[in-house]
Amino acid sequence: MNVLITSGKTALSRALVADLSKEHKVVLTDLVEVETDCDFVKCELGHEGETEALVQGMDAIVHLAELPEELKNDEREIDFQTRCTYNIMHAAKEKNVPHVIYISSLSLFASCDPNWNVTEVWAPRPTTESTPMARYLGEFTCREFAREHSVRVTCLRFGDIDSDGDAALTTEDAVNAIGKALATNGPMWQVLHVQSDVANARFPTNQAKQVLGL
Amino acid sequence: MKVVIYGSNGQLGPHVVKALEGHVDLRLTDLEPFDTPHEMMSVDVSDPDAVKRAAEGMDAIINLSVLRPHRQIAFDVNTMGCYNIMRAAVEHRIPRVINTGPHFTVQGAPYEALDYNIGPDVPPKPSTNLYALSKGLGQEICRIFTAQSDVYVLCYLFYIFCYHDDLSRPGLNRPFLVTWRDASAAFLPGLTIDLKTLPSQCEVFNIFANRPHQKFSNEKAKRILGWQPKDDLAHTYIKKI
Repeated sequence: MNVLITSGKTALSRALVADLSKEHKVVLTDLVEVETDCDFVKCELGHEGETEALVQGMDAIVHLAELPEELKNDEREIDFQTRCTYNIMHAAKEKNVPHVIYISSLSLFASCDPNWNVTEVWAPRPTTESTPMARYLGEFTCREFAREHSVRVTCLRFGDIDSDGDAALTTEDAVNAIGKALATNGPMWQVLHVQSDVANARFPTNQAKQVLGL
Repeated sequence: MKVVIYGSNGQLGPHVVKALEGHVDLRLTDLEPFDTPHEMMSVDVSDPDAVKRAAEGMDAIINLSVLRPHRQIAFDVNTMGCYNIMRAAVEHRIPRVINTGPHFTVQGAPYEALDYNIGPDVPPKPSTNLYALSKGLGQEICRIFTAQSDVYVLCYLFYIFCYHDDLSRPGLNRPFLVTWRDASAAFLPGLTIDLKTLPSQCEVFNIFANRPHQKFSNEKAKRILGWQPKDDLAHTYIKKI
């Protein structure tokens, strides 16, 4: 399978490349230059053909949707998750890429009572903090493409990678979930909550375990 | 009451200004300067500092800014513009924002293709149309801010506009049609309604004439805002004998 991974500068993308390269032909991309042995294309994810060229021939896109640290500010986060995600989804539709995995965040529920058993059927309630709000808007954008059956989208809401909180997610579990999602058929739009089995885990992950066989 | 209007020199803006003159103090903004007897500031809504400066000292905000065809600018204006306006409202403690957009900001193609009696309180499905989705994202931003602050947002949705004295234009047998003057008459009720009487801090209203199509519903705008479209557009749907 030809797989494009966005946000190539992140630690998660490096771990993902190491794992997925065993079975797939992986191309990495980011808005900034990245040192890697993997095939890499620097791309602004704009609308003037560059994103279409980037996704051409791909069987799946893993949109990690994480801005490089040096570019992060509130406006840029919102712009990246909305406009750039739109450009990726639009290009995927135009170039017949059948599957996009969008990496969202369980921080969409950070304002919920921690004693609630928040599952995939709960409506997201992001705060106005730019990071969770932007992730929600990215999901919203992907969902509209899935709704019109243009592109199948698996939305993985990740816990906090390598943190020690009650929503912790190890990089290993994150990589495993993405790998399984790539290999799994599903509906046009599917949301799954993914966190590691830590003591007093905040979010139930039964659905992800069942669907992905984690 | 002091009101700032973003995008006040577009298609709808001059009609809204005319409807509000004499009722409120206006600060008009748009990308390029223009002649007006009111206070005027040149503002690009994608510039957070400019938006913030223009909102200073205001009691209410009206957002009429819109950009349709260009991918970058559509997101800059329709999505980031809302983000900047809501942050300015929170920072300046401005309790009332009237946001605007096309009907498919909320009631997009997935509804319009299949359903009837579509009201403004349906879950938003703007579709992947650039204009619709970038506006839909802007309205989602407004909604999220209202859940986290004291700001109220009234979102007015429009689609096709016409002049009351020129109905010769083809294609006016559309359900979501309103005259410029009826559309602009909805703004004063939105500025004066007691915010505590609204069902929630974020309310969406369909603003169009009384039409017999029963495709969409304008009932909520009439019931809550007390707005009544006055122009009879019957000859846009009655057969000519």
